[in-house]
Amino acid sequence: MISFKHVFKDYLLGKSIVPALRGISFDIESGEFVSICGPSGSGKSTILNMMGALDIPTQGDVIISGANLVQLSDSEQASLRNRKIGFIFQSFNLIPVLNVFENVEYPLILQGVSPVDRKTRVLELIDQVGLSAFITHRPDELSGGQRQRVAIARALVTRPELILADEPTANLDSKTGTDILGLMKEMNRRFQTTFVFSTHDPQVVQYANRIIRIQDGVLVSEGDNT
Amino acid sequence: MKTLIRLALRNIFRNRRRTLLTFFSMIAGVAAIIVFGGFVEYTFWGLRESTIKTQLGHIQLYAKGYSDKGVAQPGQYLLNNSADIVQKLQAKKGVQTVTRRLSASGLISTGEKTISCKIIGVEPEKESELSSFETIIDGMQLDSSNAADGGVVGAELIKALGAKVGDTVTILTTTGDGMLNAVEFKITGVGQTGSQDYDSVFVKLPLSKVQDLMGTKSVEKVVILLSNTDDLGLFIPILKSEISTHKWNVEIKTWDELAFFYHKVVQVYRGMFKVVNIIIGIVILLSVTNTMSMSIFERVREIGTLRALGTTQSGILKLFLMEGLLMGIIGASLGVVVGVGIANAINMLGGIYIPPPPGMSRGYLAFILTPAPLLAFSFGFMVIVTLISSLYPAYRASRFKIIDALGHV
Repeated sequence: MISFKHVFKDYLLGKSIVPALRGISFDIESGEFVSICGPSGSGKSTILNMMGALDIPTQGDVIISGANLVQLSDSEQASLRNRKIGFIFQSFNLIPVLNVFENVEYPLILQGVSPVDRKTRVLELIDQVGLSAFITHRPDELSGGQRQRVAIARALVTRPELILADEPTANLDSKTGTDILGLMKEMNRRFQTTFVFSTHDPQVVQYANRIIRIQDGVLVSEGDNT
Repeated sequence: MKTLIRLALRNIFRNRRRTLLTFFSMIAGVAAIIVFGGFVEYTFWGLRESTIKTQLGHIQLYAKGYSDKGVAQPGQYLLNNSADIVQKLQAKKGVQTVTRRLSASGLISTGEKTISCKIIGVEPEKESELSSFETIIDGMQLDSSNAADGGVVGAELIKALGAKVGDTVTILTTTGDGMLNAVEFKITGVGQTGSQDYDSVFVKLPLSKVQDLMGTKSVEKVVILLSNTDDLGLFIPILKSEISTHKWNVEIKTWDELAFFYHKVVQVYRGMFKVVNIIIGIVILLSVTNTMSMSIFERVREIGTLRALGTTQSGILKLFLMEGLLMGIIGASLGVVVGVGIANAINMLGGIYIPPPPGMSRGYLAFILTPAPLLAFSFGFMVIVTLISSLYPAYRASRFKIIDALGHV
């Protein structure tokens, strides 16, 4: 599903080059529920950005669903994101002028799904995340937990192969965070969608089936969560 | 497209106060274009109709060769068959009146004062129709009741002569053979056309009197007045066909070939209108660019999210261009409504008094015309300016790096 091969990533900060990843290699298979953990600045978000085709490596290969990221054009990357990847952001990142239904519907519009199919799929997902009573609400009328549920529904609505969640519980209280992780796990089990989430919270890490630990841009360890 | 329009519309009204301020500047811009443009249109209309209905008529027919050689040898280029032309053209559809004229340079004298003038022989019974925009400020217009010994003199000319209505004056000119000839007439009216130059020289006498004075039975020209100036283009082919059918040896001059002052005024006003439009365009351009740039700056993270969800660079570009286009359409539509409202209000309040422009002997009440082409122009102008204003901000938004945009605080 995902393959990182000797991936390096450097950022330019002013005139100095800052290495974010230093030769990382790992594979993630379909249907896994993986946590990428490590302290702040370790390179977790950089890895997630590349998995999400939001950024490309300075050196090495990132292969997602058989496509080598560096060989894709901007529109091919956009298509990959829209069709195969779903995103759950730390700050929810819902579109403020769209209501719950429209936020979940948006990726399907980009895919050109018919209005009838869109309606069926969106209502089904909203129901599954428990927000059927809120479909006409705008994001600013929802709680943090409800917003993250909308984000999960939006990520799942295109039936992607991969869902990436960057610190998905960081802006939520612990009870809501636990609910959200439970929901993600439930969706992973039900749809067999691959979930990869980053966190530095040891409590959150426990939900993963497999853990990839990063420190200073280097893979420290990887293995099943026992 | 539906989603794009819905998203763009909601984004426009997201920050209502800022959008309203932008709309205000657009409305003011469109309204200014309409009111100024409408004033210019009225001025053109007024000057055009006044030129046509005081001096030129819509079409003038001369003997062939008159425009090239008639000034040097006026006697050689007169129309002999004018009665036949008048009779045939008078019956044509769209023609209000057809009349004949004979003019010459001469001198007018009260006995104490002598001034050069332009003698114009007119058909008195048709004069009130042809010169409907001429104001008789004292006495009466030349007509069949006073045609025997009367004449109308220009307002500036009578002032210069120191004469008054009722006075008898002498006119002196040369005949076609080069002999001097003179005739007396009573000033029955004082005419004002609006053109200071023309009012300083014209003396209108019955055509038969001027023919006697010049020793001819011919006329210089046949003047055709149409019921509607807009029908001129349709009437010209009909006229040409008549000329060809009856083998009239004439040449055609339309009013705009002879109205030099009108064309100068049009040129000046069009130049002013362009400058006003450019100024308004720049103000709107800056205002909309500022609004769009602020809107984009506030939505950097959202742009990152849209890109992450799979929106392409061109998708972002289209979204912001759509916002610009819709802002333009809404702002311009409101501007047209307000502009037409202001124009109607000015017209209902009796217009705006404009003092005499250079070369004119009288001021006038200006009204604001709102013809469809002007409204379409002001609407289209505003939409295009708004769209242009949103080009650069939209391009910038489409080029954001996704991870930078998502990390924007």
